[in-house]
Amino acid sequence: MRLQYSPEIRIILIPCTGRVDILHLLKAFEGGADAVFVAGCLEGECHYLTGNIQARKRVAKLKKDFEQMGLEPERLEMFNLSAAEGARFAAIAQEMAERAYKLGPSPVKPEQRKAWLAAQAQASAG
Amino acid sequence: MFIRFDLENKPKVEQAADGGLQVTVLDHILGLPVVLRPDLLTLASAVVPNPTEELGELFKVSRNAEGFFNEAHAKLRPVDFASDGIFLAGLAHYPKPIDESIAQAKAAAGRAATFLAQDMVQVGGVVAVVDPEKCAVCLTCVRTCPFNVPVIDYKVDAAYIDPAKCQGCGVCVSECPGKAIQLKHFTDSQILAQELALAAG
Repeated sequence: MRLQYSPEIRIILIPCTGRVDILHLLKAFEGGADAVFVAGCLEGECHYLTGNIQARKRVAKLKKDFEQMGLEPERLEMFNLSAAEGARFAAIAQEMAERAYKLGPSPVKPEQRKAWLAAQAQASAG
Repeated sequence: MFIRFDLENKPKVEQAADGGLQVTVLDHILGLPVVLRPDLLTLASAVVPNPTEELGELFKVSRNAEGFFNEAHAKLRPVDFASDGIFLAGLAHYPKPIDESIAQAKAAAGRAATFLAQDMVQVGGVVAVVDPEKCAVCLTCVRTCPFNVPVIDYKVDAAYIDPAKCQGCGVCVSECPGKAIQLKHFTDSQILAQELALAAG
């Protein structure tokens, strides 16, 4: 298909989204990621029966906690798609990359964020 | 000769001018009607599957929309199910003639024999392992495992996960509040190391 999506996307392979721990998601942000998405199987079609349901719960919980932590909840998202939906995966990857650009560097990286905000202000003023 | 028809263009059976049978069917490759003059017309009765929902759920094997069982792969594993050690043959699979059913049953028996002939069965390395030192016997893994694999081993007062039964999904690993379970090849330290390395790059 040779579909294109942003080269900033980094993929980490796991056997099932059920393996995704809240700790992993938090650590990705701590490491400097501006947005993270969890791509799981369609609901009801989990090869391991309920893994994606567990992951959905964890992602939803963390999104809620993000508001208190001062992070935009849009930086984290879970998507459900089948292995046959390559085009949709590329579209989702692209959407998350665009979201990250729109939201700018995450508040976890205060210096980068400050520089980005200053640049944004300058661009809108100029 | 086999001519496929679709439901919009069903074959027409008529009495010909000379009193014989005439079947007109649209050939989907030619795109033209084909007229046949048979001596005898036999209709195959419909084959509907037995109620398979309960059986399918019990053995965790997939079924298609009609209720027939699905093989693991139509070309590469035609008599296997996706789950190890379960095989299928005959009308449970799809409507087929008796000779095909017998051939498939022989194939299924052969596949079962290859499995049974092994002195030892190797299992995948991606399995969850409990650290008995950290396990608080909270039963979280017992409750969350979609395959009901974890059990409590009272000899060591910790959960035990049979590596031969573990499917390796990692749900228990992420749910364990004491971080007493690790999924081999996907341990927390491995995943975090990947994340930090990628985020830094």
